[in-house]
Amino acid sequence: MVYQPYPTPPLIRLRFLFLIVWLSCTNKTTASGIEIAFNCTASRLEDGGYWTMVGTDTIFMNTLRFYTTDLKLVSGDKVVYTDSVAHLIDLTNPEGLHSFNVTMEKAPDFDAISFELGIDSTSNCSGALAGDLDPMHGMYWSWQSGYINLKAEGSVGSLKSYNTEIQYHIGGYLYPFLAAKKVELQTKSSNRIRVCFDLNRFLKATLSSGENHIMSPGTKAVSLSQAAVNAFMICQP
Amino acid sequence: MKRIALFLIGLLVLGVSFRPEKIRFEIPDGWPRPTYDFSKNPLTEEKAALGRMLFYDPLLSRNNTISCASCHSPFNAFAHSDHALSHGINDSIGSRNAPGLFNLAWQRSFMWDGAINHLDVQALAPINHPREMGEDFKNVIEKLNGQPSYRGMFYRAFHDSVATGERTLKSISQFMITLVSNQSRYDSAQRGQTTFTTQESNGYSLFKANCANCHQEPLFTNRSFERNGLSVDPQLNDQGRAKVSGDTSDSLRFKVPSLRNVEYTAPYMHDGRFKKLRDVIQYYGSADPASFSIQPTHAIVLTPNQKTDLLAFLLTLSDKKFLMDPSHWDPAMVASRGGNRR
Ligand code: HEC
Ligand code: HEC
Repeated sequence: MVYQPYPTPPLIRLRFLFLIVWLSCTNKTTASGIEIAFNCTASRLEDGGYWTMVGTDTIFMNTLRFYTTDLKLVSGDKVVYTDSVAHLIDLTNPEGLHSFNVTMEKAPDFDAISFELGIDSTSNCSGALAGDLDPMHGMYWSWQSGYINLKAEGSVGSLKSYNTEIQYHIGGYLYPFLAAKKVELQTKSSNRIRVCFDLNRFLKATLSSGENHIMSPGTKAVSLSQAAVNAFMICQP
Repeated sequence: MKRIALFLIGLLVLGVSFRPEKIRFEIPDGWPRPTYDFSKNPLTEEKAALGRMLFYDPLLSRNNTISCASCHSPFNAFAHSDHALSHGINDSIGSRNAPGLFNLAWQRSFMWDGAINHLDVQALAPINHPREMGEDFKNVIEKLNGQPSYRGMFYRAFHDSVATGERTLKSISQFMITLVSNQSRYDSAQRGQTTFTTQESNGYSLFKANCANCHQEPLFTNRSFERNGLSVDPQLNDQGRAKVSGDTSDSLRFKVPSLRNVEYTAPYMHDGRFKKLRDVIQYYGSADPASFSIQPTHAIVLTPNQKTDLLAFLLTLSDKKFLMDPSHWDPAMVASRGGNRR
């Protein structure tokens, strides 16, 4: 980033000076962190994509991105930690991190985690948002309002037919087509939790529905969202 | 920690000032409370100025030829004159008529069918539309970050020279929010500063009896989706609100447009099917009220004189001050004429 200089009145400079002094005097307490790392259980391609076989069809995926929000750590029937921030996970970005960290004073014990796959209705009606929710990330519909909770794009090549495109843009925030759904997974306490997306399982479900293009909210999007939820699991470290 | 301190010292050395000029958004007497949430995007001169620059900049389109103003001209109260259906990139023709843009802070949803739920995300639609500006929004942001003049403007508006999607969209909203039209002859008459002619006041009575349940004062819209009995164009087959809500009872309902500045926003209706206001009045005079979504208590029967009276009233909604306000115009054009009020 380049910062453009503009002249400052002396009073503001003084304020910065105070800030520096204050920052250097405050003692940071050591915090614990938990990393939530996402992976895709399919063969990786050089460009960041994946391939897998469903029946006799070979499927190449070049886009697999989704939002997770409202992470919860659960112990018994009690929620011991909540992080409501939205994270955009791009499993097909070769350089991007497929994980996020949550920090807390002391990591609690937990036996399950949960998160929402997608964006809640309020955020969907709040105009332009920043960070991972910035519409410039390509996870926002433009012709009508709303976030795309999960974007999966690729192609199916089968022995019988030529390559056909598959394109799923799953979202929808209006009743009764709310697409955001909760993923709940049992796991042991750890400072690194590995969540896997079983691409094969997801594609088996979506391809059996016979739909190769789902690009707008509706009943089909809701059932595809459920198929995606079912494809998440904890993988062994 | 060290990096933050170094950075702050850097800033200190360079010296940075940031004092945005707040804009007071005034609500005209008797108007409802705006729906736009100002707390999430407080109006400042710097952001509105940036938004105005963006609104007139063809950089927002794929081949740098189409700006928002290509379809929303300030001299037509920000509607698209002469074009029934909007005319975008590479001469492509869209499927709807571009409405005027004003008093948007009061609007609940946007587009003829309300497909857009918030003003901030409105600009994404034309930018991404292959027949409007045909550009990828991410690419727009990259182009903006590559322009030194914009980096300066983003800096002044956000205390950070980096253009992001959020900042870009919020700035465009700010410019559009400042487009308030409440200086028409009708408004003066309401304030008691002028009186209507007999013809205009007859027209006003006819308006209140036949039109005002949908085109409600003072915004001249009930901010809802209604059916005014128009037949479907078989080629466009536009079902209106039903496409968004998925509810068949919304079939052929469209946003009730404001009638402010209606003199300037021809052609009329979602598909621009009527070229002249007279055609619209002719239509309502022959419409079957049973096909309206709000049932009138009586059929709209208008004698030729009454039609002229109604027309005279509609013309009192023209706000010339709004059209002639250079602070709404293309900043480049205003600069070259040597005057700019904002
Ligand atoms: C190619 C022509 C075209 C361009 C370019 C264009 N618009 Fe529009 N605009 C339209 C049309 C047509 C509609 C109505 C579309 C609909 O209802 O489906 C519209 C609707 C709108 C509305 C909704 C108004 C209302 O009352 O609901 C706003 C706000 C708007 N445009 C702002 C913009 C902005 C900001 C830009 C630039 C980023 C822009 N437009 C660029 C044609 C255009
Ligand atoms: C039942 C509600 C209703 C009533 C009553 C009604 N209108 Fe409308 N009016 C609408 C709707 C909805 C539209 C937009 C329809 C469309 O685009 O398909 C509209 C559009 C218009 C337009 C076009 C504006 C533009 O910018 O394109 C004019 C002008 C107009 N009406 C004038 C009148 C007049 C004058 C009367 C009384 C004689 C009247 N309306 C009565 C609902 C109504």
